[in-house]
Amino acid sequence: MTQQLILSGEQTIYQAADLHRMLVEALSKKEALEVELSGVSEFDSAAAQIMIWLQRECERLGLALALIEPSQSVLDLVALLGLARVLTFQETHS
Amino acid sequence: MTLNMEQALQTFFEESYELLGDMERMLLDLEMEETTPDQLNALFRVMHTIKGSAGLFALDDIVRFTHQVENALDRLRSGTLTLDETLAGLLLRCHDHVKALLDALAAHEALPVADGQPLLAELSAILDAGHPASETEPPAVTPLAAESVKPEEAGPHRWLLSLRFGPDVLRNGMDPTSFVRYLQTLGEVERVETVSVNLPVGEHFNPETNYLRLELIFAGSVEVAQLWDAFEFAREDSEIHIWPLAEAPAHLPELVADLSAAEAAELKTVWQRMGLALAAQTAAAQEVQAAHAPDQEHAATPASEKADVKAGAKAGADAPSLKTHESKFIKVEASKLDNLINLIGELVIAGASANLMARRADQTPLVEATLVISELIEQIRAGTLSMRMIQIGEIFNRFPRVVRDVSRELGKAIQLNISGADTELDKSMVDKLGDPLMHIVRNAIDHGIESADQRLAAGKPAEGSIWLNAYHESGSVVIEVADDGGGLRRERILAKAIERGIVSPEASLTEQEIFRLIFEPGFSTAEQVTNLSGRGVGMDVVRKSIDALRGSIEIDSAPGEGSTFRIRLPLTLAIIDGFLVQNADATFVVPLEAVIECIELNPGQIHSTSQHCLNLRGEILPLLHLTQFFELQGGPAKRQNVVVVRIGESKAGLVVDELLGEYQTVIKPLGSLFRNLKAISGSTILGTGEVALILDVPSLIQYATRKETEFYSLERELARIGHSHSQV
Repeated sequence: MTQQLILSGEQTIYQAADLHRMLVEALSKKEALEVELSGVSEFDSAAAQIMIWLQRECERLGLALALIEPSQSVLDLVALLGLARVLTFQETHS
Repeated sequence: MTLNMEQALQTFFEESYELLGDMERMLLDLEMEETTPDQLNALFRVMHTIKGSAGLFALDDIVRFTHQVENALDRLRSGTLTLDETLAGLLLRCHDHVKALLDALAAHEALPVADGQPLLAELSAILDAGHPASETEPPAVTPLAAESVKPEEAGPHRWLLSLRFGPDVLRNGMDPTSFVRYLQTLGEVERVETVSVNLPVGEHFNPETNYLRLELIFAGSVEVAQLWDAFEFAREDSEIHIWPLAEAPAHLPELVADLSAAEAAELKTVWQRMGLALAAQTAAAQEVQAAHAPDQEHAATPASEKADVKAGAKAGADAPSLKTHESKFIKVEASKLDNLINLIGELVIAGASANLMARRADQTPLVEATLVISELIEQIRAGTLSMRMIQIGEIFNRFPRVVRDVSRELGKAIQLNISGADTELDKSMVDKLGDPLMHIVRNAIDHGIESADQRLAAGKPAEGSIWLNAYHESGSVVIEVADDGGGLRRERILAKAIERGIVSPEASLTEQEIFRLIFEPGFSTAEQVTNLSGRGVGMDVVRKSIDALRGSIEIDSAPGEGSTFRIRLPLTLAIIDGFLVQNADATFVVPLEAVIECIELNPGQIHSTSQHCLNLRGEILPLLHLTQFFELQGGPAKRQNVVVVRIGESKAGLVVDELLGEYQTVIKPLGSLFRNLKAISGSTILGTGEVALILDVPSLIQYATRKETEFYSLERELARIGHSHSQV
């Protein structure tokens, strides 16, 4: 089973705690994760950090993770901070 | 210009002046002896560093000029050019020009760029003569690099920014991305990488804490201060490093020293990926770093990566010396120090007052406590004053150059010997001492040292000698300027003084007094007036400057053997150790350094005819009765004491009623109304709030000695006439 999470709207420092809590909860189910980012209108380095953390957590816990459909604002931030090597997105299978 | 910019410029000035000072010294040394590669390297580095720093501030005129000088020095270093007298002279003049440029810059004046043109012409003539190819760039540089090093190019600088933002920046509403966005408005962010190894896994991760570190390469025509300004708000808890790209590799070791192994390794990988050449290579490159390696700040394209390594290594070699320098000294505004000294002065007075109260109250524990406090204040005082002390070498160091230039101009060979350069002196005095000393030295060269022929005829070595010496003596600093020239000619001075109406023909003067005539305004004895001294101004200014420093100047001279000008200055202007004495109801402070001993005045000697002098262990000591001298009310006390004081060779005894003991004194200058008072040098406030006058011991001794002489000559005179001398 794969859990699907859809992030939308603002994902910044103001939502960071909530986002983190939600992800911790999702991880606790020990299932593969798919996170869709197409609806993210704002994305800052706090959110980027959480995504990096999520990747590492999944790796540590042996869970599969797919970050898919990054929105333009996500891609902009990745470019701005040179995160391309760190945050990897997967092609959508659709 | 922002404040930060101003400060950074200040640092640039100080550093550059220091480097120029080194350069001058080295050039003068080089003239004396064989050159070593080390010295030539050091010379090169001076110009290179100044050029590099000037580049940071976009001071293109300075960069342009220093670049050419650097070229010449580079050729010297590589051995394609040899240092001869002409070249050394030229380099010295180049040094002067750079200094003039800096001076103008500091004074916000237009740079005298045109003055540099003849020098540049001379330089290129020498460079061309050494190398017919007439290439100004050193050889063996990859063409690509050479292209990008043209000094005229004021193009964008490339910087490496290493930004480790503090953990709280996110919480404080600052997003690292906003800095990157801001940088994009200043120029181009060419590369950026995020180091995220510090980001923890599991529960340790706090979504609101920043774990990221950014490494970026930025290119833009901005000044470094502008970049720093960008991080103004984040600086507090963040680690921000900004380096010119070429210099960055050299800083990697110091950067990673504080980091975890993982972060350090990651950082290295990132830097490598960004095209920076790193430590292992740098060390090797340092070995390889041969005679050629011009500044390649702008040359970090992959093709010239090798050259870049060299530049980095070289910059690295410069950087540590600056760094250690910075950590060894703190630059403090002089006025802050003055304020501190003033406060400590007040503290000294307050401490003395508390001590006095305690004594009066006869409370032994309180007295002891105040004594401990006094001791501590004393230490603070000594420590603070020593902060103001600088070595006199700072002024002495100018003189090799002066002597060299002046002696060349006059065609005299002169050797300058400096000793005691580590003698310390109050900073404010050092600043004011430069000009008078300069004048005395020039005077010695000009008038003192004879021409070589005259010297040989007099059986002296053809080369004249001048000695500069400084030492501490009984609480004052003595600075001597001596020469082995012809000495002062007493008759000539006297004749001239009479001719100029400075003294009357009948006056009978002692040798010292005659010598002192040369300090009179409008006095000059040189038969041939040169453009150096002998303009009739100067020596009187010398005396005025020394007087203003509460110093004295004396001259020893023997015909044919030379003269010594001896300047005696107080150690500091602010606080002295005093000796408190009382006459009638007035309290005086005698500077403790002048006091040799105190003796009781034998009652039998009071009112006797010999009251003007005392037989002190077989030595005649002129006495000065302070009560009479200051015309104080009240008869002499039952018991009187003599405070024996000495300045230099002369001694005198001050007759006082009571000895009150040692007292630390803050000198308060007297109002301008009393400026001309001879016997008093200042005032101070006692713990009780009373005012005590500080005695000017040198003039008192002078007065006592003169009185004594007068007395005896008068006595003889009276005896000859047959009168009694009792009414004297």
